[in-house]
Amino acid sequence: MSRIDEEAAAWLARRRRARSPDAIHPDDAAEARFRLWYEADPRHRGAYLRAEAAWLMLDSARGMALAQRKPGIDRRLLLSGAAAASLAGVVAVGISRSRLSFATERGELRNVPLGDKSLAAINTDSQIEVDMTESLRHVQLVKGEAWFQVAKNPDAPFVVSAGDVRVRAVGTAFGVRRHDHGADVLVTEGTVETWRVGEPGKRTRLTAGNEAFVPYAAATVDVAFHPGEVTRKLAWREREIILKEESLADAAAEFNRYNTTQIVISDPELASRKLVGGFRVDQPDSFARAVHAALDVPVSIADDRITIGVASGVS
Amino acid sequence: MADVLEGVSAGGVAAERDLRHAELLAFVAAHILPHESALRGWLARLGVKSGERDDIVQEVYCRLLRLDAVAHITEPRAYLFRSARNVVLEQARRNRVVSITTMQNIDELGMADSGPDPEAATSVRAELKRALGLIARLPERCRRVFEMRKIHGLSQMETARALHVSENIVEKETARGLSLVLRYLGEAGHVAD
Repeated sequence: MSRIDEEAAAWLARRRRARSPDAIHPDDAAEARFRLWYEADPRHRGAYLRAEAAWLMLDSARGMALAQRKPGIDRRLLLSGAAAASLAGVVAVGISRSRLSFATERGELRNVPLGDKSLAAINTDSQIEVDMTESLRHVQLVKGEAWFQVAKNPDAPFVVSAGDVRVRAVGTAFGVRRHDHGADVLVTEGTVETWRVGEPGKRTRLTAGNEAFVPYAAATVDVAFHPGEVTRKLAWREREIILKEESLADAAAEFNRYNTTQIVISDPELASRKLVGGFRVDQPDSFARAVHAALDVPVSIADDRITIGVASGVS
Repeated sequence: MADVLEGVSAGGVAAERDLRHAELLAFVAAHILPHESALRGWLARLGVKSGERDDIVQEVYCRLLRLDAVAHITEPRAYLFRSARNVVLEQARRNRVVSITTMQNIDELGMADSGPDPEAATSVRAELKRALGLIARLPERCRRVFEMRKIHGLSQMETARALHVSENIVEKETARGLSLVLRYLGEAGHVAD
């Protein structure tokens, strides 16, 4: 690999950092240094052209984007005959309807773009099915938990299904988590509506800072305004678990969502003790040590299992 | 070479330069890059050493910058090889970078490789496949940055937000990934289909 090619790639990355993917800031202080480099050697100029062409060539991959993008993005490609043909092809390959499935393993967190500038953060051991059409953006939360940042598009409502629970948003951000008997809905921005299949007339509106548990079976939805709780419950997006007077049993269950090393509480007396603190989702051992220090209880840490409390029977 | 540097400034002259440069870039991306690994293979068989091959390829690209138009180039692959051959001969004459075996080989090997390549389909599907293949080879974090920016068309800032990393990291991964892509493009076995 030529050093000059690496320099060219670094300069291109530097000059393409603007908001618009192809805009360049000629007044950037670094631009003067770029000019010096560029003019210093014909090989630099050649390498830079090559890097620019490779960067442009990779745009062919945009044919894979889930939804067609605004016209104008591919202005450059329109400019030559050959490339105009390739634009037409991209439109043909680009699909107005697409279905995609994303899944995470235990402990994994994935951030995925949904193709319409909306984003999904998918928490541990979860699965979503995305079905994008011109008139409806539908995400099925098959299992687990996800948070969505929804791009505004009045023509295509964004609806998340979790079992029989429906959550609809237009330009907002919210999280949904499936439980055995219903789903949590956590709103971080804007407004969402939630309802159950078969009861579309009975909608509950939630705004930023609201959280609600929506049961699958008919029952009333309790909405609470808890912005701090909403943020706390979405701390997994930063790979954190934040405990605010959770019981030890709930805290252990939370860590167990993310890790193969399972936390077992061997002493039922301890299960209801309340805890406060912040931890990494993938560090149940440091949580266990903190529990040991805070509650003054024995803790044993093995690869596959962390036992809190006096181990009964087997040790 | 200032035309590359004009950016998006207003004015007819600059706009005309932008247009020309955009045309050149589209041409190079679609019709030159796919043949680069074959060109490097040919240079290797000529006896040109690895570091010198980089110099020659860069010089060939630099000459493309001097073109006023690309519409007249009907056989880009042959054009590319001819241009490289001229660079090799000129450098050999100036006794700069090319070893003597090259001079003996260049006419023996002739331009056998420079004919139209049936594999070099530039269909959109081929381009899509090639671009996706290059992105798929990147290391994990690099690959995710390139997926965001190239498949989904997010800006650097949007990519940083989506991946929960700083813009500086996105810029670094962009530079690293592009370096790797440039290397992959030059590698033997990177066929144009």
